[in-house]
Amino acid sequence: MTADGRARVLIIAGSDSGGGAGIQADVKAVTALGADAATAVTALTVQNTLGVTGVMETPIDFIAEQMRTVFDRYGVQGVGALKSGMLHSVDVIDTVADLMREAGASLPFVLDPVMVAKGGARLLREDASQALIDRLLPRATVVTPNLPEAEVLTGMKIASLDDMIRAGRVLRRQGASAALVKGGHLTGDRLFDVLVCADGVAVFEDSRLETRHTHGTGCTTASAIAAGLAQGMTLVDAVARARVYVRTAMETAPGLGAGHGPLNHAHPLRNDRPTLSCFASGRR
Amino acid sequence: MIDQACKPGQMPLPTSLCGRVLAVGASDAMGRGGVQGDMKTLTALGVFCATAVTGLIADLSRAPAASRIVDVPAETVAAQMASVLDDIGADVIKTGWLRHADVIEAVAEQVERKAGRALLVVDPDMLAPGGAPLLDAAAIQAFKARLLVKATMLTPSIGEAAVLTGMSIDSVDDMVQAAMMLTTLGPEVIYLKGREIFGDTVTDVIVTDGEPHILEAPRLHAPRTTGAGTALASGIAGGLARGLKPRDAVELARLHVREAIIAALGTGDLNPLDHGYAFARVQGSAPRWLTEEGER
Repeated sequence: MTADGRARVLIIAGSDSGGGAGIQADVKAVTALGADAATAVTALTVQNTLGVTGVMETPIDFIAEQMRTVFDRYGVQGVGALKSGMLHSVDVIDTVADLMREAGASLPFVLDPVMVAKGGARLLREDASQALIDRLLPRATVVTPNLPEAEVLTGMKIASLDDMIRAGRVLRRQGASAALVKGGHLTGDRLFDVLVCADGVAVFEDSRLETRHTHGTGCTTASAIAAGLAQGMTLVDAVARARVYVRTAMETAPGLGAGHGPLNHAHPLRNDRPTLSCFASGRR
Repeated sequence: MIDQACKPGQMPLPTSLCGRVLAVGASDAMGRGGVQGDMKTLTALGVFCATAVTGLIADLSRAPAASRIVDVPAETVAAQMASVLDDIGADVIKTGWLRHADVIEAVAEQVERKAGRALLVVDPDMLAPGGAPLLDAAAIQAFKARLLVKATMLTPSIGEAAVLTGMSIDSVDDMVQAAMMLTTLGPEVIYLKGREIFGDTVTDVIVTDGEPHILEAPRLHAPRTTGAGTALASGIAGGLARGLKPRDAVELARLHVREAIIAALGTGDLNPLDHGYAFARVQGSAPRWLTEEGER
């Protein structure tokens, strides 16, 4: 909880015009899990379910200005957790790391090492992976790579559950407090995610969902974890809730677009909401 | 899209996902107004929201005087809109912060392409807090000539209605007169937000089918209402996207915003809306812990 009693997540990520990933997924997920979201937009992507067709990068100093404004206005105590997504270049990574140090607090920080968009567009320059490892991994409460991202970060080839556990341990040695290695890219009927943390190794297991509506699952998982940390949950509880939230969001996806469709971020809506009088009968 | 929750008589606030809104507006890093406010409101109303960002702002409530603006070029605004409209689609396009004539022109062109398929809700973000104009004369001209004429619905504050009509608005009678005058600029429906007229009652005016209706509610003594105007407009857009008629969409938005203000009471004055009341708790499912050697 924060100074004003609102669990708030500061999201540092790109904007996805299609509403399925990026800060859009983040803001929706954080809201649906009962926390408040503030944002520092790192880039505007022109994007839909088929892919990315354009990127406008935010001026570096303005990424800093957004973060500084949120820290100044809500207070550092008014921010309960940080979550980062698309940080396309070394300069952006350095700026975000500097601002985190400037804020001075050891805030919970969820690092989603976004590298490639669902449609294949590269969102992190090749030379930036090392900066991510050097500057941000040591600050991460948890890093949340999928398998291709974990391979880039660790230099390992990951082809099994055992490899995932090993990769998680490497990521901890590289400085992250914990690693959630997501196994969606492995084949097989069962789906495994592995959380390697100070308490040991936790394995989350589910049946595999066959769906094309997977746009923004990584962003959504990371921000759902950040919302839990801002709300004072333990890491393992925050991860457990985030996974159930994302899975239901995939299962109830609205089926929009011709490619990788967005999730249903609103599925936790209560069914005992207030009633209003309806004036006009029928529809518009 | 058909909203199964909508029945004549009584209707609960939405409990499941239905409808699509494309929100065109600024990004507010503070997360209260702009597309962030739109997304929070629409998620709480069970409506899918895509976005076209027109400008990046650190604190929308202080712009432009005390918060810098990074303008997004007109072609990038248009590209974001086209990318959404040509793949995901939209039942309603909702516009907010549009500061420059070329951006307004680009938005109007995208709206035109989807004429007849998507409704247009225009929230005329024309004044900075304190009342300074955000749009220059060319932008106001483009706004009226290109956008307002296509709008299904216009949702001005009293200050914005005064700019658009040239009237001075000091009473409920003035509000009715201004709202009727605004229908001559193009929009079929006007929802004039009256919270700037002080008193224990907040009076809003809605004009539908050429008839004014007065909506009253007791004023909630919330510290400030940054984001409430945006939330009302996006809530209305969400109601229309769900298939409601304008009058019902307005009731939906008013009830939600009221609940969100009540939920935030006592949590400080920086973010007076808390949309979290709309959601039930999600239960996680526990993992299996491996022993040191690995148990498999």
